[in-house]
Order: sequence, then C-alpha cells, then structure tokens
Amino acid sequence: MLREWKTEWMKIRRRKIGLLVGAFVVLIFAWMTWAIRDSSKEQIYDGWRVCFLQFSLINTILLPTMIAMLASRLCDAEIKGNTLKLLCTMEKKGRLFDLKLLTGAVYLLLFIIAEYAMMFLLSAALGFGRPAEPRHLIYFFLENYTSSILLLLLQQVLSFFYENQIIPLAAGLFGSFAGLFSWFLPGAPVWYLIPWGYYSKLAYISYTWDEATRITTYYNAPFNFPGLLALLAIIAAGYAAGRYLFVTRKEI
Amino acid sequence: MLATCIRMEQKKLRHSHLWLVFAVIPVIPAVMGAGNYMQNLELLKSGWYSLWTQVSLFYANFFYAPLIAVYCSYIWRVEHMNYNWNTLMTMPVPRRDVFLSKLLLSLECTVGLQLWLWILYLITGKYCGLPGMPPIQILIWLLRGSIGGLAIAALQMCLSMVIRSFAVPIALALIGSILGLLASNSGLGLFWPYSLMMMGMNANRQEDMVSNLGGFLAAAVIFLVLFVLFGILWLRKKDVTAG
Repeated sequence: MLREWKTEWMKIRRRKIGLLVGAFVVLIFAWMTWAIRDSSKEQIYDGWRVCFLQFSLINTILLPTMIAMLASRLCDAEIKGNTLKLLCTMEKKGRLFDLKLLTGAVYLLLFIIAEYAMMFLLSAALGFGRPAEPRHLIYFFLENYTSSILLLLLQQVLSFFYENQIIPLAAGLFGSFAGLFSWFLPGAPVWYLIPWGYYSKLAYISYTWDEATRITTYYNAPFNFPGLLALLAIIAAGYAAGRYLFVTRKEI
Repeated sequence: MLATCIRMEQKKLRHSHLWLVFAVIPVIPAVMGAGNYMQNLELLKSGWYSLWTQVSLFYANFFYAPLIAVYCSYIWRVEHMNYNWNTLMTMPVPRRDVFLSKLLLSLECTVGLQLWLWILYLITGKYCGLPGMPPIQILIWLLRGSIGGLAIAALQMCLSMVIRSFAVPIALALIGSILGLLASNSGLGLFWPYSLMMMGMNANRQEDMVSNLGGFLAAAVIFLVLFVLFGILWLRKKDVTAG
C-alpha cells in the first residue's frame, strides 16, 4: 500500500498542486489581515473568536472551489491520460480510490495547519487579549477539516465519473454559494442534507450586532455534536457508496 | 475567416452543458440577495437600488469571474485533449483568428450572464414587492461590468491556453476576484482587471463607484489589448504540447 501511495505522490510531481493550495493560504492571510487591521480594540481583544468565525466563513466561500480544483487535479491525471485501464490491471480499484482520497486529505490537513499558524501569527502580531480556549482549537479542526473531507469525497466521485470536468467544477462553485447561503439561514434543517452547509451548522462562535452603537459582540455557542455525528455518518455512507460505485460501476 | 472560426468554435461547444451551469449558478445569488433584502427591510430603504446591493454583493465579488473562467477553460480544454493542438495549429487559419474567435465567443458568456442576472434581479424584485421596473441605470451598470468581464475573459483565455489543467485557471479566477475586492476597496481597482468588473457593476454600492468613466474604459481597453496581444503572440511563437 505504501508503494502505491508513493506512486500517487510521484504522479502529481510538477502538477503544482501544493503551489495552488499555498496561493489560497496566502490569499486568506491577506484577506484576514486586511479585514482585521481596522478592527476596534474590543475586536482585537477578542481576536481569537473573531478568527475562528471569520476563518470558517472564508473557508465556506473558498474551500468548495479549492477542493473541486484539488480533486480535479488528482483525478484528471488518470482521465486525461487514459491511464485507468493500465492502472487497474496492476492495482486494486478500491485502493486507487482510497489513495487519491488520502492524498487529497493530506493537502487539506496541511491547509488547516497553515490556518492555525496564521491565527497564532495574527495573535502574536496584534496581541489578542483574551486567550484562545483549547476546546475551540479542537472545534475549529472538527468543523473545518471534517466538512472539507466530505466535500473532497464528493468532488472525487464527481471528478472520476465525469470526463467533462465542468460538472465537478460547477458543483464546487455552486457549493460556495450554497455554503454562503447557509450562514444567512442557519436555523433551516435542510442544511444537514447539503454537504456545503456543515461549515455553518458546526459553527461554535456567534455574534450580535448593535445597530445603534455599531459594535459587534462575539460569544460562544454550544458545539453542535449531533451535527458532527450526522456529518461523520454521511462521510461514512458517502465513502462506502462512492467506493462501491467506483469499483463496480466506473467503466474504464 | 474569423466568422468561420467562430462557427467552428460554436460547434466545439455543443453538448458541453455550459448553458446549464450559467443558468443555475446565478439563481443562488439572486435568491440569496432577495432573502437578505427581505430580512433587512428596516435598513435597506432605497427599493431597487438596495436590492441591487444585495444581489450584486456575492455574485460580483466571488462568482462572476470564476464563471467566465469555466467558459474559457472549457473552450481551451478541447484543444488540450486528444492531440487537438496539433490539428488546430496545422489548420490554414491565422493564429490571430484562432484566439479572437474564442475570445469573441466568450461574449456570449460575459454579456449573456449579465442579462440573465438582470432578469433574475427583476423577478426577485417583483417577488419582494418592489414597484415598477428597475432603474435603467442598473442595466447600464451590468453592461458596464461586462466590459470589465471582457478584460477578464481575455486574461482567462491566456491562462487557460497556457495552463493545461481545466481546474487551475478557475481557481486562479477566484483568487483574482478576492484580490480584486481588496484592490477596489484600497482605491487600486483600475490597476487590476478583476476589480474593473466589480467597479463597472457597482457591486454592493448604491452610489456610482466609477467616478472617472474615461479612466475605467481606458483601463479595460488597455488590459484587453495587452492580453489579446499576449495570446496571439504566444500562439505564434510557442511550440505546442499536445496530448
């Protein structure tokens, strides 16, 4: 298995996937720095909670498209090169599916680690007064990484099944919109059924905006553990279904 | 020859389902904008103009450029596959016409998307109970945005031609859009093609962002000419990689 995984990394050499993911990291850093530089003293004091909320919101907008790109880059190598025919004579189809998913998951993990690094950097540079709560650091991972894994799974299935890559990329763009929409109507239960809605469903920081004073106050909201369980169940079912379809239905 | 090239390019786009993508995706910002407008009626009191701020907010800032990029990527993807570059470059057609035909075809997308958004804006406005028709100024803003959109299309054409991946130019368009948002908010919008579209559309604003129309048009034309020249020169000078 390790040899096959090494082969996956060799296949994506010079495909500059890391560079593009890195570009998104730099973009988010620029965006956050720009957004936070004019913040009030109160917001800087409560910077960690601002970061946890803003990063999740930015991820909702950017990650569906970035993940669509990532999955398309990983899978398109096989589709464009018509290499599945050859590969599947040497490697189990299911394992190929797993290793592509694992490779994408590693990129996402590095992306989330980079976001943590950005938060610590912003905290050190601006001097956030209220310390970060350790459970919030864990919730951030559960919210953003787990939601992203579901999207990666969905995009990988789409990228493998559609030679025309418009469908997966359009799904990514649609997802960015849908995800953003979910932040505006967070109470609607329909978002549990929409993969892009989990970034907002698992949000654990909320805010109130006072129209008269124009002050935004951030506060802790209870973490949505049933939502997390629903997400994990969907990932498990989606993985089983996607793998089954790839192994039994995907024509090569 | 250019007209023939455009007809050929149109044939290549058949059965691509592009129209479906362009029909469905703008519906979401329209619905979202209307929902947001209805929820904030006590703050948004300028009728059609207020609705415009909500509809254009996400569409222009995050999604118009990636949609143009999807179109451009698809137009070039057919050349990147099945050794079609070899066929394309051995056709008795001027390289200029190859590039221009693809670019002119993208007008379908840059202008068509704007008109579709206007129709959606009208429908959602009526649903929200706004009286009469939207101001003609909004339609002018939309068409002005498509001038900025054409500069983006020329840039995306170059990116999709040079980069053999379908997905990467689309991701770059999203990155460009967000940098465009930062550039236009920092007063540097005229120097970044992705900002021109937002400024032209007056995204999320009621007052006109384009104070100097001459400067806006000059910037759009300069970017357009620059990218078109780059695209044609690249086709003339660079050897193709087929596969």
